[in-house]
Amino acid sequence: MNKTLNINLAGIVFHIDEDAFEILNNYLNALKNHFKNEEGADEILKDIEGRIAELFTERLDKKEAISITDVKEVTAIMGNPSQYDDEIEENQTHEKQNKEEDLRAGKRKRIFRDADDRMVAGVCGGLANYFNIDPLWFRIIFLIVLFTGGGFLIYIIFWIAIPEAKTTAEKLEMRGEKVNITNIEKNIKDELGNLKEKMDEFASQPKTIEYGKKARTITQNITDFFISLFSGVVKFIGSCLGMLAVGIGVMFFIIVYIILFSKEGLHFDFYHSPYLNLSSIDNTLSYGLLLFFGVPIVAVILTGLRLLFKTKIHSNYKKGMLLLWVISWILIGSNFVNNKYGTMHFNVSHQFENINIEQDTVFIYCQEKERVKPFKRTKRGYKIVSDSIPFENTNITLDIQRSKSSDFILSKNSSGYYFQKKKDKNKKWLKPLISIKVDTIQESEITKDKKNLSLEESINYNYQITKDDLVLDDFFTLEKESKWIVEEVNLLLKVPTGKTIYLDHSLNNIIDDIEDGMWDEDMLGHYWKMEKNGLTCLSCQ
Amino acid sequence: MKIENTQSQMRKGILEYCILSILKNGEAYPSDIIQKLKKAKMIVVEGTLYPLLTRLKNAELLQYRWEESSSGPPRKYYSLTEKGIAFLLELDTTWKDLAKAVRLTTKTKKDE
Repeated sequence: MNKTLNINLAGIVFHIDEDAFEILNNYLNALKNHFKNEEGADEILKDIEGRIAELFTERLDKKEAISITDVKEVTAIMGNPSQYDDEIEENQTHEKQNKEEDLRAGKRKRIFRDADDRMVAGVCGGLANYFNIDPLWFRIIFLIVLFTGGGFLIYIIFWIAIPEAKTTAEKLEMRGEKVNITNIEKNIKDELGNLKEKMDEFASQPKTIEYGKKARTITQNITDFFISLFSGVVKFIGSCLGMLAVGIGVMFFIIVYIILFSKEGLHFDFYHSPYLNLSSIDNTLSYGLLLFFGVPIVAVILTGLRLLFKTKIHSNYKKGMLLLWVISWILIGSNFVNNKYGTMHFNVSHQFENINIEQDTVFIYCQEKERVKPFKRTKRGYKIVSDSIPFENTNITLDIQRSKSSDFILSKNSSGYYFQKKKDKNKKWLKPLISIKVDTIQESEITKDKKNLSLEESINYNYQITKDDLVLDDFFTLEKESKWIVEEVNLLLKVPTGKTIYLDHSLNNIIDDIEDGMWDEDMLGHYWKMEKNGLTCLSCQ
Repeated sequence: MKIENTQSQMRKGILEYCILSILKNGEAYPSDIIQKLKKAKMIVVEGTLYPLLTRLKNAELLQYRWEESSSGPPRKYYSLTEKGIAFLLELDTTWKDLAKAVRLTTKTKKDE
């Protein structure tokens, strides 16, 4: 007993056995594929379908359904696409011939999704075919990666990038030669080998040609040689670029993914960058950014895969990617319309501290202190573990001026940014500490909202005074809860007239902007006396 | 060098000429043409003919009309256009020249 289907060929309805239908369908698909570049392909196919319908009608005199034998006979009469080539195809390129020969010999292999052996879209099956491994391994890998969140995206990319094997020819190609690293290497070597062959051929060419007789042939040969050399080089570069592009693309993808989706992700420098405080970015923006960076990255990966595996990407997918990219612009744009991250930049007023130093000469050092490691590596990235975060000495500057009184005075001036997020649900928490213009800050307002730490409270900068030493820390810390993005801490030391200071070499990183007509670095390692008209060097020559 | 390649090379150019020649005597539908070509051993599989007919039609050498068939789907009846006739006449001359050339070059001494 056979199950039958109804089909419509050139307007006539036929009953056809299921297995026979499969063969017929494959045959017509193969034809479709064969004629796809031909002008009037639809018409040719319709004509052939018409003829098949005619042949079927002749065979249906005594029976109702078309059997597998009928289909086989009819397709034998009509012939295979490869036979057409033998009989009529005239403008067939050499490459295409090679390709088809390879195909018949099962040499050429392309990656396809395997619809016959699939769980979702046949990606794992296709990969398995390509690398000649059991698909179970790929499924296990994808399942594992799925739980980390990235697997889903990767699967989608493969889904888009890899076409499904529809025709018999494509299925054959799918199961062709094994492709693995050694074979890729071999391919590249082959390309190089071809190049060399062509070179040798070219070198031996003139000997076989009679001198003076066929000058035109020689120029022809030279042109041909350069054309083939060029295409060889292009192919070779293509495969290299392909691998490179895939590598780079995957790397970027991972980086973007980590930055945007691990909560306590890369904090290192982003953390105190005033423009990119990623920890406070909300979801629509991170999806927007993911698409914005992700789409070009995926495009790079796809191009790479294309160069490497010589598959084709459907133009619909290209349009889809473009659409996604446009969407990313919209997402990012809408985010900036809805939530403006305003930055306010200002200084907090000086804190004056009189330093009680009796000695005439003060040694000023910068001490490298051991600091708490604020981040701890966890499975989900880096996590802040301490209450405060240290910032390096690049954010600290030291200036020296003359003191009007007879005391050493050290003042601390911090400047920073505050992220103000408009239209936020948690208005209370994010309410600006200072709701006034930059140039009219009133200190009283800074400490008003006690839930928040004000800038001066949240910054912690220390120094020690021992006998005649002033030892400065080479870092400051910022409270973990602080909403401030501190740019720098500016120190100003006021030296009374008549006192001498020694500037140690350890100040190299923080010394800044002293008005005395010398390079700041050259001042280090010397004794300086504060005179009425500024610092004078005592030990310089 | 494969003999098949040379053989198909030789056949290729002639096939179009043969199709046009068959239509010289009036219109025909693909099955008729196929019968004649098969008999003359010009083609082996039928599928070969359809792309050729479409190409010739697109080159405006052929035209067709539909006719209902008592058995099976409607048929396309092909005939030569004016351009096709002119084309065929030129091919006739070319063929005669070629045939003469082949005859002369393949003639053995015995024939002389």
